[in-house]
Amino acid sequence: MGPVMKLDPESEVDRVMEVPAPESDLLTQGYWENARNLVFAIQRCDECGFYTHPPRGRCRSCGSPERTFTPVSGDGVIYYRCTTHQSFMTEFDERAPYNLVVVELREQTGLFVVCNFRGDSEQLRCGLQVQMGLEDHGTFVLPQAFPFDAHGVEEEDGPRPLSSDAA
Amino acid sequence: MKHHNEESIAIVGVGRTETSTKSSQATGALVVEACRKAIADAGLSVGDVDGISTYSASAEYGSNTDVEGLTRAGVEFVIDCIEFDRIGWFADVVAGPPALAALDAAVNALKAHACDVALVYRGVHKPKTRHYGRIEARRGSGDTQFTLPYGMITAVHISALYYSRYLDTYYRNRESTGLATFAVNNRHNALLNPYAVMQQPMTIEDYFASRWVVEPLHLFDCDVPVDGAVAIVLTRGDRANGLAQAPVHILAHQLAHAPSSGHFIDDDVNRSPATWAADGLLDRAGVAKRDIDFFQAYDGFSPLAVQWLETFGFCDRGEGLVYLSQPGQIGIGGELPMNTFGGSLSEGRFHGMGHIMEAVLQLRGGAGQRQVPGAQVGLVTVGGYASCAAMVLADGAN
Repeated sequence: MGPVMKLDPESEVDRVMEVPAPESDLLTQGYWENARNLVFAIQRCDECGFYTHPPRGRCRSCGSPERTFTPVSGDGVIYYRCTTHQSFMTEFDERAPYNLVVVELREQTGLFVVCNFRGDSEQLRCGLQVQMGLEDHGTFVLPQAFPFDAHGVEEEDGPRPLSSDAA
Repeated sequence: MKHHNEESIAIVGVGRTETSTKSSQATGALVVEACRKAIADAGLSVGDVDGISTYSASAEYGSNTDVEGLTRAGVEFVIDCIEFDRIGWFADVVAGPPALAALDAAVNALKAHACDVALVYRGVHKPKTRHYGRIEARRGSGDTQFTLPYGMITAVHISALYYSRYLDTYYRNRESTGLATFAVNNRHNALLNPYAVMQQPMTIEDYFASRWVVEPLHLFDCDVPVDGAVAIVLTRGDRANGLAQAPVHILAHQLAHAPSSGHFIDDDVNRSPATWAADGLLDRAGVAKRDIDFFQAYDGFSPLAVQWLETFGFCDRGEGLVYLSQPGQIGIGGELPMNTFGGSLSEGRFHGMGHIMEAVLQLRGGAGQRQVPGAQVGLVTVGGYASCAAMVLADGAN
């Protein structure tokens, strides 16, 4: 796992980090509870081991209803990235420009999570290795992507090959 | 080339309202106007129509503020507004590659004899009291609980994210004016289209000077939210002959959706719905790539057109931006005229209905100053990424 970052409600910088809260439900409660306990866990099938995210009521691969939020390594690679200059919500008006990334987790090809990249924007590129960490917003904790190490480690040849080639 | 018979499907009428960014009219009223014009254009009467479909999802991604009849118009509302004799088939499509999802359903309904004359429409609304795409929500629920807290809010985020990987894969060490050339070509064509909302000339420099919305997408990579409606009328084979307009035949059509999209699909072209939509389409239409006289490529965001160009093999994978930037390529007199009406970028956001209507006008020889000389076969695509559709259309001679 990557770092755990606690926001300071007194801090000017952190105050503008207030974001819309995630509304957990019967499918996703375990995801957010784990995050609050500072564990990054993804729904995994008890039968076949397949990870499904966002959480669903049945395993996407085998259809089993038996599933457990399972801690994952947090290692991943930035698969898609962008930088939002225009804010589309009040909460983000003071934050723009901000980055938004899709991280492919190491555990499974195509296992994607959406988050922000909490590193140097200059480093931001598809193929950049990252580590998932947790950002404490008080009433909820958000998984976020952090640089793999202080400098950020970029794969030598850019993004990893297409998943079909990698097999 | 395909031989038409009584089972082949043709577009026999088109109709539209003016395109505006500040219409005072209700979307439902605009839809009814477009529908009645399309029926009249076909030389039919309201009583002839017995099938109706629309793509009726909000014109604004993620919006939950729609009011039926005012900002959207589903089929039940439209049936209530027009004195049809008998509706035997209808579909209110809210998922899929917008206009072609509704059109594809109607084509299949006609083929199945579920109806004889089908009306397909799309009405779009631009909010007047706030910036388009802006939402107010204190919490993210359902799948948006995994996106809203991070500020992933609207459709432009999705396109920007996908396009970033394309750039980082293929254009890491080279610059391209491809999207700028595409946007400028759209604008040039829009100036020849009285229904296009954007009527100011644009240069390559204007494109690069336009602000970032979501980097790597500029403002001029995004379609323009508008008020308006477009409608088309379709029927089967023999019925299509002898009506008011020369029929435009649908030679082949295909929808495709990713098997599972979760938040995103990967960039494996072999698993790409665009590839599935394109595979074999021209063969089934009985045409070759060189027969395509124009390409109305979906451009809700400009990188989608690049994906479609490459998917149909007009250029190699990763070479789409280079292709677009070559002189004499995509203009009306060029190798492959693209978005001859201005596209969604410059005509306005009709979610593909503008693309289809333009294909019909071109194949009728009725596109005026922007007519592609001798156009006989056209390609239309709608959507992109997880949800895609493509269609080949031809004039009566094909």
